[in-house]
Amino acid sequence: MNRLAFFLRIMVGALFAYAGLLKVVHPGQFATDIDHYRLLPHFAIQPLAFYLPWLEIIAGAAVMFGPGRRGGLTLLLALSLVFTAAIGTALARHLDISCGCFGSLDAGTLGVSFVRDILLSLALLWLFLRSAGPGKGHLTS
Amino acid sequence: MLCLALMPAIVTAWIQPEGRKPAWNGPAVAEVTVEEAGAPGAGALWVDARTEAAFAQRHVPGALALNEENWEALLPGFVAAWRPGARVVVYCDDEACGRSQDVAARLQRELQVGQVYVLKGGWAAWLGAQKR
Repeated sequence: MNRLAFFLRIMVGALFAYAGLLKVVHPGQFATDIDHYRLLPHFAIQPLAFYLPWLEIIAGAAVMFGPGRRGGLTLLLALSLVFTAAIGTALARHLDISCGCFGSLDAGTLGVSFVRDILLSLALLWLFLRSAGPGKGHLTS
Repeated sequence: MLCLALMPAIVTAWIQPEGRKPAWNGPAVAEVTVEEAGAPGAGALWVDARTEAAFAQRHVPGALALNEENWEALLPGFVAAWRPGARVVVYCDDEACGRSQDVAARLQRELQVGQVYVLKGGWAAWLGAQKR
């Protein structure tokens, strides 16, 4: 089980760090992607487009390498839940948009992104609960 | 960690490739109404950014399909039809869709297509204009 947790932790951390890197290089494109969800006022979009990718990179790196692994897991879980909810509302509103999760490399429909984010959230929840178990201050590798 | 991410974010905002002007200040690509866009074929190249299934069902006459899901496969068709200086009008379903902005921005960014516009209201607006 430890091996599975280690593998999952590296995969999830790397995925978020990679997604963050893709968005850091095109903040304008990411801002447009956020705007397409029609959830946030315009003044909040640009700062978020600069901030969120770095949060993903730093939290992803922390989850992979530590220190701050539990903090990183908490952040990634929170981000993942927010992203899932945002995509869910977009689907419910029948918005014909791309996810914006991987910058210009986004592929597949919003439904596929929704399922992927649910799986990611479940993986993160499992890792988080594991890390928060009795006597565990941090995840074992 | 929340504060740690703030520092590179501020630095990125300062040194971003676009310079110090805002990276985003509303929709990236200018919008045109159906009337402003001009008739398909009359000098303007119309691009349908909806899914290929929607395109196959019905589309603006003369429009080309180009979406991000099949960008690599559909792009050669666009390149063959596009002439430098030609006006490009990209549309998707309606006011709420973002595909046309994505495709138009990508045409500007990756192909340096100058005159790209997004059809305000998209396919729904075009259909509405045909009924009038």
